[in-house]
Amino acid sequence: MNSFQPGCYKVEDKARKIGIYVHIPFCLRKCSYCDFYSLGSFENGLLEQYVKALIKEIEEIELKEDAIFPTVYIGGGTPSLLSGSQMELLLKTLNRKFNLRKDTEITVEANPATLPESRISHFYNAGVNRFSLGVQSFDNFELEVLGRTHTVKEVFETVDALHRSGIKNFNLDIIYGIPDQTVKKWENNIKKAIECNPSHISMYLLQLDESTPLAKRITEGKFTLPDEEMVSDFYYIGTEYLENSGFEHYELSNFCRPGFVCRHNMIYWHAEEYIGLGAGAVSYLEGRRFVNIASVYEYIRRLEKGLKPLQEELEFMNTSEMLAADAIILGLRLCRGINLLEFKMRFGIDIEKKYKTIIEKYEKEKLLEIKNGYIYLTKKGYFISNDILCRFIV
Amino acid sequence: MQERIRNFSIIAHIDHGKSTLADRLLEFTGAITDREMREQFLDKMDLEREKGITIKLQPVRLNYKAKDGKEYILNLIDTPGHVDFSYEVSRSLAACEGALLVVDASQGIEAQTLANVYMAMDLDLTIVGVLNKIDLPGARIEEVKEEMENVIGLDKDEIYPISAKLGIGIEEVLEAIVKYIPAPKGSSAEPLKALIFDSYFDPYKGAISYIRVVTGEVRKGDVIRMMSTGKEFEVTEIGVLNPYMTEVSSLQAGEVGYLAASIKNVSDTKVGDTITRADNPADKPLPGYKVVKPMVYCGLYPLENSDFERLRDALDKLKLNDASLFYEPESSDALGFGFRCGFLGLLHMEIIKERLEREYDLSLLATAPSVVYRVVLTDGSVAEVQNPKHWPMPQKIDRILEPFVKASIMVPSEYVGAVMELCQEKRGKYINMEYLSQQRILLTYKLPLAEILYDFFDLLKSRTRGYASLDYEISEYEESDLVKLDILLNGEVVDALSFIVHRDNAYYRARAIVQKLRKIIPRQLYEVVIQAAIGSKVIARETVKPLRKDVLAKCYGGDITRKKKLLEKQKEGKKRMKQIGHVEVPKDAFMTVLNIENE
Repeated sequence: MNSFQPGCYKVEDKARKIGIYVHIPFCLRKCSYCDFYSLGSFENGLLEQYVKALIKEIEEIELKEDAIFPTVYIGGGTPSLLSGSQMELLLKTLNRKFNLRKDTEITVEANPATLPESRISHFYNAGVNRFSLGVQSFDNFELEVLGRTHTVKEVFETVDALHRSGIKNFNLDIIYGIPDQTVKKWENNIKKAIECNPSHISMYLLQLDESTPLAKRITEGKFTLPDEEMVSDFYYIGTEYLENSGFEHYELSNFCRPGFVCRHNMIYWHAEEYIGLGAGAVSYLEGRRFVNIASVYEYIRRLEKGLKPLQEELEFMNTSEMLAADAIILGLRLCRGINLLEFKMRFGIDIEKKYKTIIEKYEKEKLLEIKNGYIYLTKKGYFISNDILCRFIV
Repeated sequence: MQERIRNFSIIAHIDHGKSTLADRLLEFTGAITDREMREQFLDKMDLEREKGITIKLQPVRLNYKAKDGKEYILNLIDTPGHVDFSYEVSRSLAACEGALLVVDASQGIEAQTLANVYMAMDLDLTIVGVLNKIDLPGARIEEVKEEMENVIGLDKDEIYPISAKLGIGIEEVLEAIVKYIPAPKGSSAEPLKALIFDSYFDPYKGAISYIRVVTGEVRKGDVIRMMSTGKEFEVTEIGVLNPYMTEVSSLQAGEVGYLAASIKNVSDTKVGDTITRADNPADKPLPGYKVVKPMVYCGLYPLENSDFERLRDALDKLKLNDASLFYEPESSDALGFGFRCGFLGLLHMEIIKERLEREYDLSLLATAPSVVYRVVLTDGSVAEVQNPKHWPMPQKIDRILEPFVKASIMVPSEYVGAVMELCQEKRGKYINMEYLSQQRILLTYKLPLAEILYDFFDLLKSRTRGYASLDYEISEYEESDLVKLDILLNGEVVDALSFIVHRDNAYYRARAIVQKLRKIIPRQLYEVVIQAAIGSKVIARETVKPLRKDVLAKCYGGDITRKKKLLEKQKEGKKRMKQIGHVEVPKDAFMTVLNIENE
């Protein structure tokens, strides 16, 4: 156990950018593929206590120096379970503490089943300017396999509501590699997602932690996952559809209309700092990644008592070599890649020199390229990127 | 003095409780205190404790005051039980006048029980029967006693029922040793003849020999001569093990102990050699041992090429303790520089490899084991081939001989059919079937040693639910129709994967091995074609499809650490691979030729 004092973030660099992540670990029901921390049964009273505790955690933070907090991301769990007034309180508190600027990107993750039009406008009025909808599929059978609480019809209703409310900046999450999925079904999902006219689409391969119920059902032989060749085809088919429809592929699994990258997520991939608030939220500050202990009850209990949340250190990178490896592994997820000059200024490491043999090997395979001062994976390299990324681990 | 010495071994089938009985004897005679006691006291290697087996023999001296009121010196030499180490058993037996034959009361006589009994009988030892594990619910005391009487010829009334685990019957065994095992005979007045039955290297004292003085006497300061080489040394220390090294002033005829003489080179203290005194030499040496020849060979290669010298060092050191280990440098196109090593058997091979990895911190790759073939060439000369790489060109081969063993298989009668079938499958030739009792049968077959190495033992166990036991001795070479099977990866022969197989089994094994390799070679950036070929004729083929998916779909703030750990694991995995041409092959692949049929 590490004794981090969340109130003592040292902020040295005036231009230091820090993202803010807020975790809402409540769901109507846990999805069959999900391994994030979240309570699968939702109670209004507990949520209310939790929000109060969150407010306390935020208020207790002592900012010693100036920093810029360009993004807020409220994820989960299912943050759309928050009521309009809870959201208002949360954002007000954040605003007061962090002095959020007008152009701050404020995203909320939402389940289509829990985002009625009234809540959209409430959230919007509270300051939310970006929604991320966990759509996952446009096929009711697939939604059932995934254990989602919503239907395809609800997806369309929610999307319509977003449009009616004038929300242009919203993301749809969709999943491929679902049991029994065919190319045809997948193409249909992709097309439907594009028809919804979002500003952003995250397209994820279904990757199951063995602890999840769906993984168990697959081990028991109740479902079969599409094979390696097939999911690779899905990926490149999806990529092609999205690019042909004017989406820019900017991260392994992320696509956006020009100008609509998720600025918060960019902070992760640029290996920049972030503060995580709430039970189970991870922070990354000064080379340390640490997590608030993932227990809603314990979290509430401590904050009610006026204590800081319990935290645990996940990793501490104290050499520029470790920091650099971290930045490479994350940075190569971006299609643009890593700016070599910036990287050298930041870590004092010349990627081309230090990783010469690795780079040459993968350049020869046409999986990695260096051009115009950037190092990046080729399209062919995206879907087998681990083979490349693991070579950069210290 | 001499009439109060008893030199004895404990012999048994593996797991029948030799080492536990030794522990109890040590305790009962007060050689070790309770505080010092740990299980398998005489097994010094960690590996021996972990595997619950004895590898090296180990003498110990016990002082016992018998019921006749006299003090006796009992020299116990613990022996290994596994068939690979029967050579070590014969060495300890040669230093004794008697042996305790331990039989598990629930298992009865097994194959190695008999093999050890025959060995003891050859050396004219007195055998005292001990029935162990009588506390087990499945103990068949009377039945097994009868078996011992009928098969071995012991008087069933002179078999001692004990439980080594619970310490029951230990005193009776000690009394029996005193009563039945004869005292040694040689005279201390005659010239010195001492048998070296084991030796090891001590960094401070030089080579230490365990000796049994047969005639004469040896003292500190004596100049001794090794009778096989004529080399002379001055004795710097003699002593006994009780169980710790304790110096004594002299060792007399009949005694067992150790001797150090600043011998730098363990090869100067050859096991089986006779030590005599330079000033009053014996005229002829003791019979000694036949030189043991390795029966199984394999290549051992460091995973990191730069570890070659460290591997050589480690082998040099192990050899000091293990005269039966053979090695010479060899090179492989696929694996670089390594050593061709010869072993007594598969267990021996496994143990040496594990000791090298553990005690010398090496990461090793072992090629499939091979027996020694005799290839008669068309010009009439004979080539001994223990590495498939050196297999002569087919057109130069006149005929091929392979080593056979005489296998004794002890089996409950209901499994006889299954075992006979297995022996047929493995190219066995029936020799004999003998009823030891109504339920137990001793089958004798002639089998190719290569088949025994391959998977015979595992199959024997699985087809008899573990009830059959096996012992074997090398018999002779016989002609066989053998071919060399090459394995190719992307068209290139991987020399370290080649093996020799009977022509009738070639297709089957070729298919099995390429299928197995397809499963264990991970997908790579390129397609990998795996082929098996006899000469230029490909007889089996599989492909490993190129890697298509190896990606972390999501990587956000909350799970970066976890995702990095996955990549770290992947990187570690790559370290366990050997790069052969463009193909990354897991190091276990080289042993797959061995155990494809077990799946």
